[in-house]
Amino acid sequence: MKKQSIVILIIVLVLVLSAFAFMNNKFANSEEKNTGQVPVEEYKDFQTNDDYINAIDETINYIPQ
Amino acid sequence: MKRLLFISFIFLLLASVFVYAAGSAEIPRNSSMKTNSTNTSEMKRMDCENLNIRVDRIRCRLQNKTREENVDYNVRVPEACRTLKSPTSCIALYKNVQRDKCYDHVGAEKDRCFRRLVGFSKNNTSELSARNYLILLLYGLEERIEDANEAGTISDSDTAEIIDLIVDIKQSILDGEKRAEIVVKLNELKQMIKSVQ
Repeated sequence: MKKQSIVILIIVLVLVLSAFAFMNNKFANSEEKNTGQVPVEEYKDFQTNDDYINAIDETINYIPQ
Repeated sequence: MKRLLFISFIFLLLASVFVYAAGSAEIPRNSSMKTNSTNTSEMKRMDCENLNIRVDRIRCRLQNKTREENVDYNVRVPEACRTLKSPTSCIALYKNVQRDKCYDHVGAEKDRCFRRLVGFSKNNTSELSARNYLILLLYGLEERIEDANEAGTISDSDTAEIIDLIVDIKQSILDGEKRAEIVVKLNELKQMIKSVQ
């Protein structure tokens, strides 16, 4: 009886851990699955006046004409 | 006689209250009169803020070495926010930049700081975040012009003219002007910067 209880306990434990691992993996990759790729943000390396001016020129396109 | 005495007493009492109130009242403009307790740089700063024309205020601050990132925005409203009908969010943007010390960062780290602050990213290119991001980019450019001025590369007068135009562009962006109107001013700014480089 005691041995049977231990086996059941181990099975339950394994099932809980598997479920946890599955959910964790699902949440971590949800963005990847939705878009097909992880969006990578590219930051401007501001070193000169032109770097700022170029960034301004790019961003101004998001303002309505 | 008794009535006259009573009226005189009331008059004296009212006069005393008036004199006391006048003596203890603190009107901001009178703060400049506290010459003995106010240090020189503070006096100079106050003088700059009292000037009516924007380019004069900017020139004055340059001459007094008052850099924008060191300004206490609880005391002084940023130039770009001054003419707005509701400047609260504009002032908050400047305060947040100061709080997060974006201007202490260099290169890509500075851009990361700017973008995080206004929420401008590949996934969010909303008009509002783009306008706020433009304000910070122009502020970054202004910072570089101030650096060049401090290094003696650009004169106070040229720097003041450039910063005045930058502020004007920022106001246009914050006022919700269309792209075409902003681009005209941006082209003027590019020419101006090119001419002093």
